[in-house]
Amino acid sequence: MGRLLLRRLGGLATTLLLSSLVIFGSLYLAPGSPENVLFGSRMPAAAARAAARHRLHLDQPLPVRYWDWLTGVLHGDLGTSMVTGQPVADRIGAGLGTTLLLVLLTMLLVVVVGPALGLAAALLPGRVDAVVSSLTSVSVTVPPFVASTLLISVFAVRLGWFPASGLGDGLGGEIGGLVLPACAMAVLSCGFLGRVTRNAVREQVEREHVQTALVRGLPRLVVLRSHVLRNALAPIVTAVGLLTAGTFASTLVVESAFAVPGIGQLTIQSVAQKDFPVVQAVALLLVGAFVLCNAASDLVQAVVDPRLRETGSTS
Amino acid sequence: MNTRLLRAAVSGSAVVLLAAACGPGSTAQKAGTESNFSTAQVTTAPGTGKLTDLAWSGDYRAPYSEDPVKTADYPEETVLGNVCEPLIRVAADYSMHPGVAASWSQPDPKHVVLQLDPRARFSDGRPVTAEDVVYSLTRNLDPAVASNYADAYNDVDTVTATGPAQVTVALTKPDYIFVRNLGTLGAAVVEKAFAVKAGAGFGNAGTGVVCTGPYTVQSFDGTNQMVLKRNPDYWDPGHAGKADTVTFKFLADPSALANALSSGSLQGAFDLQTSTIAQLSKAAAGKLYIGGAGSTTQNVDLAVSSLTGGLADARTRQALSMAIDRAGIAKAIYAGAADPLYAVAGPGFWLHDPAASTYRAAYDQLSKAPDLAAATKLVQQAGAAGKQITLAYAAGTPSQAQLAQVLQQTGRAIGLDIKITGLPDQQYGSLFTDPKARAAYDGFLTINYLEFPEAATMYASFATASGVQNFNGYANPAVQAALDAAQATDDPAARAAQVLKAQAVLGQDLPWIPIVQPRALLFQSKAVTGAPLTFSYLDNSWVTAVGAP
Repeated sequence: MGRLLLRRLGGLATTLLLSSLVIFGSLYLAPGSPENVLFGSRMPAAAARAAARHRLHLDQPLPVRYWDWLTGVLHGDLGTSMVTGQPVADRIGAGLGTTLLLVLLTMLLVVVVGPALGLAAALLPGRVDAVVSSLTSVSVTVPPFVASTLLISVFAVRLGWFPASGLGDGLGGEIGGLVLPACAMAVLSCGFLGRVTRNAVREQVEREHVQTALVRGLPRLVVLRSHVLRNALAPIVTAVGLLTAGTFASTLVVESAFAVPGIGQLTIQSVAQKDFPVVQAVALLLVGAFVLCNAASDLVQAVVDPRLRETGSTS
Repeated sequence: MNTRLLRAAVSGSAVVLLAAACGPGSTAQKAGTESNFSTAQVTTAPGTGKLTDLAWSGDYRAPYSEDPVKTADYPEETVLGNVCEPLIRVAADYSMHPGVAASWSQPDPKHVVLQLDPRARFSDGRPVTAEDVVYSLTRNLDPAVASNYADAYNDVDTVTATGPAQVTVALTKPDYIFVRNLGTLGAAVVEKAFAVKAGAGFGNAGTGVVCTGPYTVQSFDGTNQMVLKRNPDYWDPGHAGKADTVTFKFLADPSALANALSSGSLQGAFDLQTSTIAQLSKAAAGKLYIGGAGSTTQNVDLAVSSLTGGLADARTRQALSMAIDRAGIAKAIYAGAADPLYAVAGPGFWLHDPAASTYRAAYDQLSKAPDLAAATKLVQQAGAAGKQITLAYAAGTPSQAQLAQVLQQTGRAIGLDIKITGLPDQQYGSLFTDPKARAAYDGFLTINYLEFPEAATMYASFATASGVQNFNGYANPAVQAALDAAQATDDPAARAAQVLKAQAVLGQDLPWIPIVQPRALLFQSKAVTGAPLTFSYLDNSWVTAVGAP
């Protein structure tokens, strides 16, 4: 277990390092330059442009800039935004909590509703299964930006239950404002997880040992818990890990549709403005979230399935 | 991915003139585009009561800087005038009123003398000195500052303190229009001591600014919102704000903005996209104001960027202009919230001018239905049939993409082979600043505006030697002489005569081809009132007019 954890942490560090290099490099190669944003609609004098480039260290070669950035980060300094001059940590910190809360709410909805739907479909073949299956088939085709429009027009504009835009005051207001965005992202994921659950559980139910246990007269609940669910958990946990990571990316679209002041707007703008330190920080947050989610799902699997612990192999 | 999320991070061009890529959205809605206030009405009902907080749209992105001269684009020009007031205040009808400059005069055509208000104080309590004013104005001349308003200072020779409370601007040529620039953010007064100490960090969210406006910045997260706080010790109680705090939110997505307005979480917005008309005209939370022809100075044009390529022959440009179905474009692409534009400086530039009837008479002459047969003939005469013309547009702005397609079809109908190229916002923005970037194109689409209605300035920006938007090197002595003469006279009728002389030539030479003029679109909640209905809000402390009904 400890070895697994170490391996995972090593993997995380390597992934972050490599992706930071790729992101930095591709941003460097893309056309345009951040100082253009600073000069707005003016063609600056050559000296003024050179001064700005020097101040932003844009006149240094790529490896030097990357090294400066990397050493800064390792010392806990994410750098300063090239456009607004604010510390990157401040710019991100302003919206990060909101985005994390949004992902948390979404995944809570997904892990409750998705498996519930899947279980119902797997254990109650016939009409329930048919209804759930058609429901999940439809919901997996509804991307978050479509769900956003729908939810806003029904629950915010027509019924007025939730704010159409922005967040209220305090934690309560913030959660109230995040319910609809969370639902918008959960629709697709719930359908997906529901289908994964249904198939996994169905497969286990049909297994010989499960049928034997049932025939021997073991209580249905016990069989379900220790023979069916435990074995069906692996694909479900993997799916939850992947969905969580994907939810981080979906927040970009949904936050903008609901005017949620998370880090979505910041991400989109800083990429367009080539604000290197901000893009690096935000992109690495996303990459980190992705790697962590996968690692977490592997660890959970290892807890659930002793075989994985013994071999130490997780892939 | 929603393309509107990536709206131009560019403020298109400069001076006070900008081609901000702010295109109305794509969805053409037919209902609700009737103008609902007359152009004679310049403001909503006056606000009288106090407000604890006013929540307003700060336009499509957060300001890059709090420094008033750094970037001239909608977000900065909507927000910053409330913090950093220009020397001269501009009322909703664009008339000029005393501000930090208690009075101003022009003893001769080449000198502007400003008398400062002795009461004027910065937000830190220090008095405004002539030195501060000289410093603030001179920043526009400093290449290191790279002011976006620098072009307005082309004719400025020196700015000097000629008394403890007197500043004199010496001009290199007779210019009665320059004084209008003292009502824009380029003439916002900043505290010299603070700015010098802050250095390159001046205006950064962490450092801030020290100015003379009725509000100060309470908080700014750099991305989503900026909160202004009323300055309790504001030097001019008669112009103090009614709202304790003003929260500006920056929403990139027009439909998110429409939701925010119709649900009341924002109380108002200027410069709305046409895609929001359908929803906002039904909103119970407030009223969508739709202006008439000439209710803004915005103009959508095809800026010809090369006079040597496919558009080299004036007859080709005339043919294209003659063939464009302006009324159809206004109706289909702008959902009716725009009007055909037959001269770059259209009604929005002279409706409130004393010589409006003169301008109107000349303008009406230009208004013509498209004539494809005559245009085809001109194309043939120019020998341009089948020659390729390449036009660029901002791919992130749906209305520009549609407009480019219409131009392509128009070209095809008269025998021109028009190739259109959609550019990402950053690349599109560089068309306005980098000759190399525009070398590949014969022209590109732009949405221009000017903070004050002055046709001579609009024309000078693209048709004179020093014009910052003179992308193609256009030079015509008759136009240059007429526009120089226009700014050298203070008499509205005489100036109109000169402007119209230039306009007549420009209508033939067509260094720019006018297309449509968008109508004002703004929303105000029932809970508040007082917002101006004209473009005068740009660069001004307009928030002070807004209060409870």
